[in-house]
Amino acid sequence: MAREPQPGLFAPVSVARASSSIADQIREAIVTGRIEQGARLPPERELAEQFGVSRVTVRDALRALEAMGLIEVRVGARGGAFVTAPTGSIVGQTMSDMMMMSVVTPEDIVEARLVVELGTVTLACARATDEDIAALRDLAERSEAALTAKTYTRELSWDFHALVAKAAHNGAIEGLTSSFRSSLSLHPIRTREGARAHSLTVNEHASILLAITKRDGATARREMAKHLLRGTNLEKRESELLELWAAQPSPSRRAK
Amino acid sequence: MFEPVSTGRVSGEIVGRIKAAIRAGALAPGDQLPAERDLTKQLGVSRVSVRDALRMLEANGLIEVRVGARGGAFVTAPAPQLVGESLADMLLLADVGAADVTEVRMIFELGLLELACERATEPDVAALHEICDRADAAPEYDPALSAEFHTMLARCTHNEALALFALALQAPLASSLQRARAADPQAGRVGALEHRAIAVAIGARDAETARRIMAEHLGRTASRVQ
Repeated sequence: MAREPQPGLFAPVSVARASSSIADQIREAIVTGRIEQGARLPPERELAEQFGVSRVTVRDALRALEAMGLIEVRVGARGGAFVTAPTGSIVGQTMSDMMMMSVVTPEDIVEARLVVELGTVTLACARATDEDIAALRDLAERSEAALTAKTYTRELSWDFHALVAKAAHNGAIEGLTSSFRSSLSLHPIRTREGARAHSLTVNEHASILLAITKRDGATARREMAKHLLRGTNLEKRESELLELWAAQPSPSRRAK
Repeated sequence: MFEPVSTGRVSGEIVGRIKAAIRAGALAPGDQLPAERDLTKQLGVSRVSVRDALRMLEANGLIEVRVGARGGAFVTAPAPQLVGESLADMLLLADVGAADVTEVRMIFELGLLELACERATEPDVAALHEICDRADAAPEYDPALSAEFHTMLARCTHNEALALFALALQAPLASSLQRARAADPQAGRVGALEHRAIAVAIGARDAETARRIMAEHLGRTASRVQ
């Protein structure tokens, strides 16, 4: 007996769907390495032919990929859509959007940052090279000078955390740290900070650096926790997390 | 005499304006944006630029485009998995090795156990056990269930940021775990037993035990993905 067609057998085809399906296919090709970093995608016209859709639909898909940080569109004679890797700032932008919409609170991010950065500073104590320490010292000197000249900005503070992440010699940590930077620097969580807070920041950074130089993980963690928690309502986390880290075996001095 | 204005810059500017309206509270989730045509007039830009801007907002999870008679562009909050996806893409494409990812995962997952023990509700603990039940009943080890367990564990912290980072860190590891499983099929079974023990420890609010088991659990993964 012939059956009635089931309702909902086919989903309606919409232009929006077509462009996201194309974006998904290209994303898949990029993520699996079938299209290499730096490669140029075929021109819109050719993509439209390959996918059997209009150029408008291809353009929509390219805009979506651009917003995800997977392609970069360059204009001019040697222009086109080039494959790139999303950076921490793309990830941070989305987190910042989520904070704007109250999906994630700034306190959530501070808490997550604390979890990551105590680990980061532990690794930095084990793995920092002479170059890493020289770069941190150089930044400390510039920060002192900026403090005196009253030109200290939070960018210098973020630079410190980025250099500590670099000294951990772990690419995933560097990426995460840069995403914290771009999400929190877009948020007014610390706008109340004035000159006094800046000088506290510079002093705390100096204590962390000293501990890294001495390869003293326990002190570095204590100083980092104090630094990250100053002025937040999360101070009770401090002792719990320090206890946790004290119980972990020392990280390997992985050669890179 | 004039700098050429690329369409990319104009659409970026439109994205910025719409975000500013959301930040200022002039637009809230559920609100419908004016039609493309109206936006074109209000902003004094081309329709192509407006369209580009809408596609970018859509990819950023800030608007949802519905089709049909009551269709249009509606303001939404970005879904947490969006951050997870871009983080996973970033780690995959930046060629961050499995060893680095495992190390960060160790930092995250051990760090969040204290919070999980403190904040997990009864239904959260029940959900952990339910995942273990399904793993026990499965004919063979299913890595998807393992991912589900770790995701649920991160949700026990009731911190959305920690939950999505923990989730994002699983994706770049999935393929290396598949390889490890092929080499040592028993590992999955041991892992399932460890999951159960962690669920029990969370239920008992025993962070120390949870941490000890998790350190062994992730430590084995670490040794297999080096």
